[in-house]
Amino acid sequence: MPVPIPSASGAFDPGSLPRHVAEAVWRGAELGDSMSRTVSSGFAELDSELPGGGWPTHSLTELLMPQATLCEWRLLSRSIPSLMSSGGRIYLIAPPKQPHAAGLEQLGLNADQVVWIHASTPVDRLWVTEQIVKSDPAGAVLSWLPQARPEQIRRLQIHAQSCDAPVFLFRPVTALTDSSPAPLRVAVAPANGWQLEVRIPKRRGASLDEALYLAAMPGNLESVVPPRLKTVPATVAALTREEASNAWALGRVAPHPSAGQPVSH
Amino acid sequence: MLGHWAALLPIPLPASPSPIDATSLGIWALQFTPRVALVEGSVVAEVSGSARLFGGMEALHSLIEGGAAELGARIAWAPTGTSALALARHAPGEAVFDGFRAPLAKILDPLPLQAISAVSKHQPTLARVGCRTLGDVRSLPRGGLSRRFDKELLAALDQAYALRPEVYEWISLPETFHASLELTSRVETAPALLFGARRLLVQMAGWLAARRMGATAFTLRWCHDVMRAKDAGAGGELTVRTGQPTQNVEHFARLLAEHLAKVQLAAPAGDIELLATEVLPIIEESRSLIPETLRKGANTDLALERIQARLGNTCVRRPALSADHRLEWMQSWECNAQRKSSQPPYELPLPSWVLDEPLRLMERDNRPYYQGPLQLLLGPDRIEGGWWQRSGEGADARPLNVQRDYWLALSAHAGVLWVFQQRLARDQTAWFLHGHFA
Repeated sequence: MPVPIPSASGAFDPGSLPRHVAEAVWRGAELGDSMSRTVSSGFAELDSELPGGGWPTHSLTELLMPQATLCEWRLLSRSIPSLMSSGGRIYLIAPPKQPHAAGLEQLGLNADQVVWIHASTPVDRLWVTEQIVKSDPAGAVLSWLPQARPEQIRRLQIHAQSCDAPVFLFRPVTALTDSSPAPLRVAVAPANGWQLEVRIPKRRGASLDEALYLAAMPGNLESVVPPRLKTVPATVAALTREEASNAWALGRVAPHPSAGQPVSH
Repeated sequence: MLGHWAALLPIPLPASPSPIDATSLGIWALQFTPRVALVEGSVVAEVSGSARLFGGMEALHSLIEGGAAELGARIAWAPTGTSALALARHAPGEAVFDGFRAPLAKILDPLPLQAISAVSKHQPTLARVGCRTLGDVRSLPRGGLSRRFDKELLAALDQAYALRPEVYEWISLPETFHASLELTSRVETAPALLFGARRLLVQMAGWLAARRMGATAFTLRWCHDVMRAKDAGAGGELTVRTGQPTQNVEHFARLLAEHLAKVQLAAPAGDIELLATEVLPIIEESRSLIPETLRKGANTDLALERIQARLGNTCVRRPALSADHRLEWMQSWECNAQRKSSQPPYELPLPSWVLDEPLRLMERDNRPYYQGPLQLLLGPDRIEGGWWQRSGEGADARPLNVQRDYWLALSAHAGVLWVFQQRLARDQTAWFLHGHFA
């Protein structure tokens, strides 16, 4: 029986690599694999597009938004409670507005485990983030860094490599024009209705061209929003916008029937 | 009879002209073993009983040697206290000398007569009979030695060569800690005090470890130089507090550095003094084989303390919830963590971000505008009350009464919002933005 000889004389056939080599080969069209533990984001569509199937640990994640305090918790509140169940804490570093602990409790984040660190200058924000990341905290780190430079992010990324907690940096979406050493960059914006539009401009592996639309209603609204409104806002929001532009053209605003609905206590 | 002895001989460090005094060095060494004695301005310590506690003799060696290098002491290891001391004084070269690397007699024999003080007393006589080293003395006939010289000489020689047991008076640990240091040069800026203070911190950590305590507060005092302005005063002091009792030198040094960075010295300082002002029993980490994962957040607590030291106490905030319907008074943020009383959750949805002050919204055609027209989804959620509370004391205090109808609003650009309309305010009726469901 002739034995195939893997010699230089034969043409190189990428289809018949030895098995251990084939497993180690990463192809450009595939999604990269994460070396470290990941934390499920709570959205199946998003998990399937993130390397390793979730938010990475031992690495930075940049979340880019058109404005601050827009949809942070709608994106993260499904993954963070699992990190806090084992006694971890969530560190909010220099958020632009005051967090509301009672509202966070309704999302499943225990108020005792929330730590808000106030820092006003960009230098202090970076220093605090670095100190917290370096100390390898249990839980999650959320830091708002509107004015960080790439070399500063690189420094954080190096410290994050020894941090066994996900580190999220919130930056304005305009930061996309600059390069960033963070291995994962996710742009988030509210889409029509209760959806979030998620794009992944940078990840390990092939880039993702089209946007993902995640159904992300704030967790504490799901029980009070009637089914009728769970779909309505998409069309109405479009309608009002259209109406407004017409109204400008006409020079008057058409009276709008309120879509409000009383809440029963 | 053979033990495992360390002899520590104080030597001057570049940071300070005066070497550490033997008593402080002895107190520091008490953390490793209770058998510590002061002999002729040096410290001898017997550590064979502590090897297991510190994870083996090698680990113990490196711990003691590292500490001794920081405090400024030469160290020698030997099977007896007298020989360890002799080696620390007269061993050639390096700062650490291991007397276990060859038989004891072979190491001791080439040492000069001054190495053991009982022998050096008779040095002129011994030198005249041609003895230059301890080995020469040892080879003289014992009978003649004991007749011609006092019995201490033979006893000291026998003790050094481990032929006779040694007797020491062990020192005991003081109840309180204070240590002082004279600086090499006058220090004009407060952060530079840290270089000198570090040695004192190492001493304090040794005392704390020996007492099985942790410090929750320590005070650094500095004395101004005599050449000072009249209004500068005699000195100053700085008290540093820690959240948890700790013995960690690195943590002490970092906290002290953050605090010293804010201090302005009124005059150059020449001496510093360190006191452990508040100490509490410490829960020590288990040195078990299986690593503990429960203590993972400990480093982060230290980091939070450093952040508080640099940015001020109020910058690290923990929420405290209280039973109130009004959004502003439902929570407060406090700097020290405390357990909240368990409360039933508020039934209606609450936003995850609130504004410090409600933002008055523009209105167009009786409808609120915020980055475009707002679409009111759900409401009204009526919140009333607060007549019992006033904003401060005095004539300008106004009641913190609210009469509001809260609505859940949706904006195309700003997401889901929590807005309210002021009720019963006559011409003050207006829409306000109060929170974000982000």
